[in-house]
Amino acid sequence: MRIPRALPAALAVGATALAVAACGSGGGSSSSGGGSTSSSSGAAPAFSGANIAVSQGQKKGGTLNLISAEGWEHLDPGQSYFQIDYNVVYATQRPLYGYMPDNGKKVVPDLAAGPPTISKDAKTVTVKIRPNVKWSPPLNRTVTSDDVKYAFERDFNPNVPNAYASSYYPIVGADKSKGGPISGISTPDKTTIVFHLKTAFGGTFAQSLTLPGSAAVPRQVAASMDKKNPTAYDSTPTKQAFDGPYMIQSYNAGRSITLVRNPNWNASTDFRPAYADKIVWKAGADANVAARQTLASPDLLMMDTPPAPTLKTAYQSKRKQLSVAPLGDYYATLNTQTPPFNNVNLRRAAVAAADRQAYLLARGGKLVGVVATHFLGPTDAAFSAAGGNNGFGFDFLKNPNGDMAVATKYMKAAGYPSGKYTGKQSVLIVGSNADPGPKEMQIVQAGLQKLGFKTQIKAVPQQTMYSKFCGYVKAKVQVCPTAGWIPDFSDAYAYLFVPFSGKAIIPVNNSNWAVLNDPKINAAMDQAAAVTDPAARIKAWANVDKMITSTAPAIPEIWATNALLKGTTVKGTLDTWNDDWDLSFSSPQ
Amino acid sequence: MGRYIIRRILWVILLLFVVSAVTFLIFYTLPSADPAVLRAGKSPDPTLIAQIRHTLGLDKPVYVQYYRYMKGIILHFDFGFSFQDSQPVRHEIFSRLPATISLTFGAVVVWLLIGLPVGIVSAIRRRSLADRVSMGGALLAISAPVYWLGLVALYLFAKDIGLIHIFDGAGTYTGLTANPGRWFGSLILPWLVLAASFAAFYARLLRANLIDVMGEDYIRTARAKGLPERRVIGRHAMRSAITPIVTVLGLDIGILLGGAILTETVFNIPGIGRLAYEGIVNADLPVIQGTVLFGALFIVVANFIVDIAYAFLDPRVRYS
Repeated sequence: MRIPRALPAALAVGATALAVAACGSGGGSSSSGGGSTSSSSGAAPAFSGANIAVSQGQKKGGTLNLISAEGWEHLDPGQSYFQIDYNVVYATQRPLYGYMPDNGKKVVPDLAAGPPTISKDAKTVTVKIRPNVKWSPPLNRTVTSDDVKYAFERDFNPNVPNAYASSYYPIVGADKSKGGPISGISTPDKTTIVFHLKTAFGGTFAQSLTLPGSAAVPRQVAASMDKKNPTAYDSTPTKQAFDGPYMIQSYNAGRSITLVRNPNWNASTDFRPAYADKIVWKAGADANVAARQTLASPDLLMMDTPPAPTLKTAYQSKRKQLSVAPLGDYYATLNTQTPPFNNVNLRRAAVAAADRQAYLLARGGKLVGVVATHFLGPTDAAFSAAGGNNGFGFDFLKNPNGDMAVATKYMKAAGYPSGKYTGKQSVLIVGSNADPGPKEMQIVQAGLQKLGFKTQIKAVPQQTMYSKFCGYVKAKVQVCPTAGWIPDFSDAYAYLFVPFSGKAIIPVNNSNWAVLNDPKINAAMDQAAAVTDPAARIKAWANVDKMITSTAPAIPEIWATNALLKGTTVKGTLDTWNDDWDLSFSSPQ
Repeated sequence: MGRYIIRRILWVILLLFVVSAVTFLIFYTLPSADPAVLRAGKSPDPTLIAQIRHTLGLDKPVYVQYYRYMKGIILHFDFGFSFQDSQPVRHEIFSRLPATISLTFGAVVVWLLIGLPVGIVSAIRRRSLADRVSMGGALLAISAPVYWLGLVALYLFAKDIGLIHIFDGAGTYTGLTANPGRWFGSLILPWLVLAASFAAFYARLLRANLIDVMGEDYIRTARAKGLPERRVIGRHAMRSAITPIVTVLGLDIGILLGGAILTETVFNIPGIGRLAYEGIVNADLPVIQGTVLFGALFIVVANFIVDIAYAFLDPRVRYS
């Protein structure tokens, strides 16, 4: 999922904007098939939020009032790919699977009646859907497997540009369908849908069914809208069909949205309690004002991360109105294809010399996370298997304040007997010009200069950093210190594949900023993605994480947390997988 | 007069055409980021980017894109749709126009009600305590950034977050037709904040003009004829001193109708300024193009009206 634009500004208390390469809903990893989960002890955030618990004595009824600086992008489940949008889509639509707010590691069936069945070769996935879920008025009929089939067909319709279908849905015939029938999807009966995959991807595909692209869409409502460019199913969301607990009553793009109960929703078919009768969300607020309004109000939830000063105030004096959830990880990439960091020992030396504690302080200290030692974060099921907080024990990552003795050791191993870089290659460091980007660039620069590297810093706007530098392979930027990643769904594949697989490298808008293309790591990822047994999958992905960390494609900075504000009496429940208030689990009182 | 008006209308059309072409060139050929890539999300495959580029018409040559864009505007008054949220830009602008009009004209009334009397008093009581206090206050008001002033006003006087709970706060804007009382209440603070610097500027401008005019021979003549001072100032001096004010007022109204970005942002008034701001932040080119064109339209039309008004205000001005 696209990261909230305001999030970078608020990740840091005392510091503001942070560039993030890409994003997704934060979360952990669950077993394939939504079955058992291996929980990780993980690295608990330094400050544990007060409102993460699902049960807080919420009551049914009333109006839930929300405020945000940001507006919505796409409320069409086929296009939705943004945290703010997910809040609405997951309250109005039912993907095949979902998560409980307090456990982003455990997949629970939503529209699906139970866990999917994955064939032994991991190329066929069968899902049975609940027989008694109904569409909202005026459609008023039962949701069928054909509605799910059509949802997947439109995910590949150019008029419904879906950001992840090509990455996570390798369904036979999908790439040529252009919105028409997909040969790899069949619906033997009204409650069964079968997906035939091109590769042994079933274990990962099952996890991705938590994305809104799997939410049913009735052909008879959307097909005519989808012929328009862009589809009217997105631009007129009040005309959508809803099978979730709420439906969209009114929508003013960028300004306000009102949700009311879906009269055809059957609570017995859903894990969502849907406390509020009505949800009124006003967007477009000034973030400073909205944060103050939230702190002063009894019944307001602020849906985007508040500015640093208000966050500080809340942390110091109104801690009960502050909730914190794990987010993702942040790191400084070292270009593995471009000298000098195409030498693995120079990369290890750079990691060893880095003061990673300084990165944490630059972003605001303990409220924003903990120092990272590898790349799979605490929200992932494989985190413990990957060594948890301590990581894999690599010497170049042992000291969070940096270790020049270890750095010198790797400099010598790289062919620099003095322990200082004597080559002619200068190092270009590119980062966001918004705080704390410049600070992060200076931190990485300080470490590299200790090793004798000549460095040049270039601070640019965030979009330019993506499009012209760090995300543009031909730019050959050696160091990008303001990278970050939040997985799209709860699986290590979503955590590691795009930022570190050579197969994910694309010329433009590339998210593998380290341009890491190690055949062994690529193969290990492919093998891990094909594993369906939960325990074996955790082990396989922990091993992939170890291989990546060993090659030092980046300096792990922090495992981040996200902080949000609520009014004094409202019962806000934080989604640990979407890092925002869950509309269906929060209540006005 | 008729020929003059026709000529000016043609100039307005030409100017808008030039503005549209320049804006199009700047934002479509030199974008900060590829809209198709922005829309595609993370790790998009090249096919998806190509599809989106085709969908948005970005795979066509620039002149074809511009031709299509202008054709849409001229034939259908269609400004395209937002890359960000798929909403038609025309709908977005028109639905936000009432809020911007409400904010602008209310603020104009406030600043004229404050600025003109203060300017007159300062001019006719030059170097008095009242003059010094008002001009000092005006300097402060001009110097205060609108965004800061808005925040201070909210933190002091808003019902929800203010120290003294007097006025409706941010995010309370209601349409005039929906609830006139709430509409008025929700705009009091924004009007005062937006009007503050304008009132100060107008007071200083009027004071300077009036002082100049009061030294003119015809004013001395009027006084020598025994006319009452009120009549001398009201009928003779003001008519001349107000002319530059009208010029500035016309332009200011035009600019504000294009969007009072900071005021709309801090008070969460869903106007055109806020739309323009969001368009810029999100590199939403059709929204930027639409709001710039509307802004330009308001300015040239306001300027045009001011020019026509000159003829009625100043007997020396005649058009042929």
